[in-house]
Amino acid sequence: MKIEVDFDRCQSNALCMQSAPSVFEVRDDGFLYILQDAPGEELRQSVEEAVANCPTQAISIQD
Amino acid sequence: MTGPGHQSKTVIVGASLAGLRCAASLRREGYEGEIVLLGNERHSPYQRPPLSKAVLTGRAPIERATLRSQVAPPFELRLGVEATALAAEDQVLTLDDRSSISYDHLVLTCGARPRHLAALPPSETVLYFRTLDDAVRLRTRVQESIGRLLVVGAGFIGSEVASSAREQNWQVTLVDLDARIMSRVLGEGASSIVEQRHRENGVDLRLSCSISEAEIDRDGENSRVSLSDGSTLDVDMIVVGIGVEANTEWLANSSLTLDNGVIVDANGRAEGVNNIYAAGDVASWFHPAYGRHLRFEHFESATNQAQKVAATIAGTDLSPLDELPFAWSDQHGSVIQFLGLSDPSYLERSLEFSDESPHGQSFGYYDDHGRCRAAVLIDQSAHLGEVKTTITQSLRSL
Repeated sequence: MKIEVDFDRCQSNALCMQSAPSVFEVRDDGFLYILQDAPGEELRQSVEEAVANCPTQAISIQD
Repeated sequence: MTGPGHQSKTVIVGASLAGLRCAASLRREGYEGEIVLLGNERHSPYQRPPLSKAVLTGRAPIERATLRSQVAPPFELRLGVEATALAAEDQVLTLDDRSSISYDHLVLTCGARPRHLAALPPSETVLYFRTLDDAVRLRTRVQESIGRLLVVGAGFIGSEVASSAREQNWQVTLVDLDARIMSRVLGEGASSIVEQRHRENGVDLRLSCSISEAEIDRDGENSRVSLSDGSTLDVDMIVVGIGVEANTEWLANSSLTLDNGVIVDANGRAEGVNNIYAAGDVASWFHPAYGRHLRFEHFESATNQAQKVAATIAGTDLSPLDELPFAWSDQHGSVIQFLGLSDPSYLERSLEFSDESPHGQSFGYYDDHGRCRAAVLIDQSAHLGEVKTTITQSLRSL
């Protein structure tokens, strides 16, 4: 599973961090950091949840 | 214009979120022509949402606002230049350095500017908050000392600036003509919660109130403002956020239809012209779901519209833009999210969710057929998806 984040859409609302904390981290500097851009299949469900919950549609799964 | 040897050229006026987004999306849609992006500020394209929030509080660096999109060549970003006239019949723009530039496609993303109050001309003391320079100026001021700030206008900008300045321990008075905070987008129930957040956090909120007299010390420190409630305030700094006007004056002599912005269809095409488009704050965009032209001043809309214009130019997607208006605000640590288009005639009802969120509260706004047309979520962003589905369904049933 390959994750792509459109950083110009991302507004650091940090909802993705609630869904998949081992993949997404919004730090104090206001930026989103991708902790792993190709996480294992076991994380697919939580990443899909992050994609669906992102208010600015900034996250997509490439495969 | 696409004869042998002629490469298509798209000129975008406004190196804004919408402008850069349109350029990047053109490439993504397979457009191979030349792209020229013109900006009248000296900064690389940036976005506005963080300016009144994390950039102002100092929680995020100024770079947080800078956009990261890259546009593959042939691409030229020209900063510090302003378009002053448009000759649509010749497909030529005149610039303020007296040069001109021709185009095959023209995209207008030249935005809007703050509306001014005659009693408060801009000065060292009076700031009409809009740009990155404005944010840097206020941030520097707020961080170097503690003072007294008067904010005029309790809309998005005013409410956020008030919150950010309180976070820096400034004494803040927030004044609005209306009886409620953010009254254009919030119903009574939602307004009262947001008002409470401001009061709990020490903002001196004066509603149904206006400025009756202002003696401004242009260098700061000793300005005095009289309010319509009879009180007098000594202030160090005044920020005004009473709305914006679309930057269309320079287009007055063009053939474009202007009415509170550049009138465009649901694909972003200007009325009666087949190679001029508009997106973002300057665009009065036709929304089929609402059956009328609307000018939105929010991040999400600027992004969606710019992408739609790119797809229209590239010819890859000619379906009308189908978007549910979305905006958000951060105030005193609360995240307030707005969905749909509200109307004062709608009935406000509290929204209940199956899994009770301990914090926050949300409201739906219902038309007289009982359909949920808009909503406000206060610290309940986990429910955004389901509320969006509900409103989308009721719009489809219109």
